Amino acid sequence: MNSSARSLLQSADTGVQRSLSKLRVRAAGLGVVCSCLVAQPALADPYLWVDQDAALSKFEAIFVEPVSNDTGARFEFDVTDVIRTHLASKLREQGLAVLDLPAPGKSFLTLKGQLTLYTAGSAVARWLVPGSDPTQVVMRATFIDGVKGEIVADMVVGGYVGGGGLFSIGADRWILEKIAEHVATAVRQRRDAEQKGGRPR
Amino acid sequence: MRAKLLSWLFLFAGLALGGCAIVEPLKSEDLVVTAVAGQSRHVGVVLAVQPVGVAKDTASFSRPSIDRRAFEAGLVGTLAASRIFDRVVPGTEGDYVLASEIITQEPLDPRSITIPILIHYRLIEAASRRTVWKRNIFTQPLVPFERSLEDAMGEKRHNHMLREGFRENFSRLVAALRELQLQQRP
Repeated sequence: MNSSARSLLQSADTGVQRSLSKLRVRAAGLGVVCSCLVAQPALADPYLWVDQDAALSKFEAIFVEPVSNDTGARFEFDVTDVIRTHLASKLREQGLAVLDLPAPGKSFLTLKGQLTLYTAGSAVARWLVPGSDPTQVVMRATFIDGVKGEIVADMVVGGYVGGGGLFSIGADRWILEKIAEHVATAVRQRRDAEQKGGRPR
Repeated sequence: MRAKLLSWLFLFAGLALGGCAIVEPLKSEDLVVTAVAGQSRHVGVVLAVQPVGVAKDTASFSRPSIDRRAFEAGLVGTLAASRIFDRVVPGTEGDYVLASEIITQEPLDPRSITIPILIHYRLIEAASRRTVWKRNIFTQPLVPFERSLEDAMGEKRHNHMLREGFRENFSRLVAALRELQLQQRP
């Protein structure tokens, strides 16, 4: 291929990349406009990473240890305790065995939650100015082999409510339930896939 | 009332669709941390950095993310600058091989003030293919929300968060690798 043809191809490639970049920005912008009008939380699509040498289905039960507050902030209610309660409840709803205390001699996972971001936000502020004062949360959920102490699985879950006005009243509480539900669902799906013989990525 | 609602909608749409400047994507040089340089810690040891794995592909309309190539170049650059190994090379030909996987680098929302970044690292002894060390490193840069017409869609803020998050992640990796006892292949 001669040099002029190559440079023509390169400039065409750059042009396509620029157009795609513009399209992506505009699509994101449209998403922002739409999300200002609804109370549906934007939840980061959670991905449950599992160590290549491990399998969740090998473990009989899960012990949910107290969630740590790594945000450096204090809240009006015990956010970490609410998350822990939701985690235990959602895991049970998914048909997983949950321990009240670590059980020596049993093959179990310890679920360690780390709250790394939480802002309660304000539905009234969002009603007055759509998109302002959002409710947001980020938590890292690490599953540790209760006997060996090694990390078996890891994930980051999060949620963001930036719209919905007065329809988003209570988002500071229900967003915590949503992230717990995401963790529980991801674990159950992964365990089911492993039991069926697959190794999903 | 209807006209008022429509004018609000047009205002939002105008801000979102028209007022956005295109921000240059991050380059691999932006990810290289040079501040962690020090004395060579593992004398004679060659570290090979294996091509990075990405846990899952990002959605087509999501915000820009760090791609495999930029991540790998940033990681190799940082490790070379740290001078804790004699040599750092891409590939698998070394005394030790560093494998890595980006577990997450997704923002909660385009308007969010953070991007949680979680990366899995695994150090393998090349001769025995044995994993000698592994860790998941989590970083989460927080950037205050500041709206300006120049950055109406938060592209600059997004890139800044990605850059800071990955750089901090690499710095913590270097600090962890510095503590290990590694030996040259006989």
